[in-house]
Amino acid sequence: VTTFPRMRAALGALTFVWRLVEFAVDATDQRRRFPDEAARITYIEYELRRLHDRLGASAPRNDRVVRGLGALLLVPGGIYFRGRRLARLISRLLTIGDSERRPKRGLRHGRPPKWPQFLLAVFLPRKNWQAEVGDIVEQYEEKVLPKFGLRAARIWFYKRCFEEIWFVVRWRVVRLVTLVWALEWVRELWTRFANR
Amino acid sequence: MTEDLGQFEQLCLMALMRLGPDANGRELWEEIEKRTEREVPVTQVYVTMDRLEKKGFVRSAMGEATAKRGGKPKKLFSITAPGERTLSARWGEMRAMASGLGLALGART
Repeated sequence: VTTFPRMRAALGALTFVWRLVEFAVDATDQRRRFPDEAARITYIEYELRRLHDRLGASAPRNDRVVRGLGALLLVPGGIYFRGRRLARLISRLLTIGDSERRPKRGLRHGRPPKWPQFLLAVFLPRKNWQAEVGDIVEQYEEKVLPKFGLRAARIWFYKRCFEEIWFVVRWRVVRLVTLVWALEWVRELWTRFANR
Repeated sequence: MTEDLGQFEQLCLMALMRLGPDANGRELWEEIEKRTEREVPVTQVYVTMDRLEKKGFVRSAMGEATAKRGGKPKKLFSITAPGERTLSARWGEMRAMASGLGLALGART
């Protein structure tokens, strides 16, 4: 990838759009979760700062595609939120191409990975999934990350998420396998009697 | 007449009594893991607490959402009077059954 600047730029742009989609989904959820506007704005600011850190880490430097997309997507966003502080943050977001924060390699930020959280949201019981994901994220941030470091903490997070999902789906898997086996058995019996 | 309690339900109620009112799911989960020295899925704790709530042994409320939890709210649990009564009855039965078996049980562990 490093030898193909255009491909790198395209990958950077894709990552950027993906982060924005993630953020947009989160922000829609926030409106429902924080009816109080001040609390919501504080939270959105926090998320934007996080997004800024991530983009600073993942976008290629001086990448016009990323900047252009950023301008295209974030300016309407800024107008929508209408906060001065938010506008400042968004203007900072647009300068990600010049970010000095980009580390050379390795894992780039301390937040828990998003996609296992998405899987948890899909598989866990509807009633408590938010509290459960919150508990795992809090444990990750407070105990696991400071104690074991980023790489081990992320492995812990993945392991924990898959254990939770396995706990929920294991009986369904067993039932499905049993059902398939039983159907296969009935089909075999049927063909045996039909051939007589 | 007191309702039956499963083993994990008893563990959850005991952990809840230790932690006091308004204990959140994560504290419960940690307490059970620390004391039983085994890994317990968070989902198991929540599923059990839901069941106990349906039985009327526990009450729950949603807490605040913090940035540290990724904006996800806490769920707070407190044990109710029937919950305490039932746990104490079950514990009495266990003690009665185990009395005099100290040596035998000790020898096996």
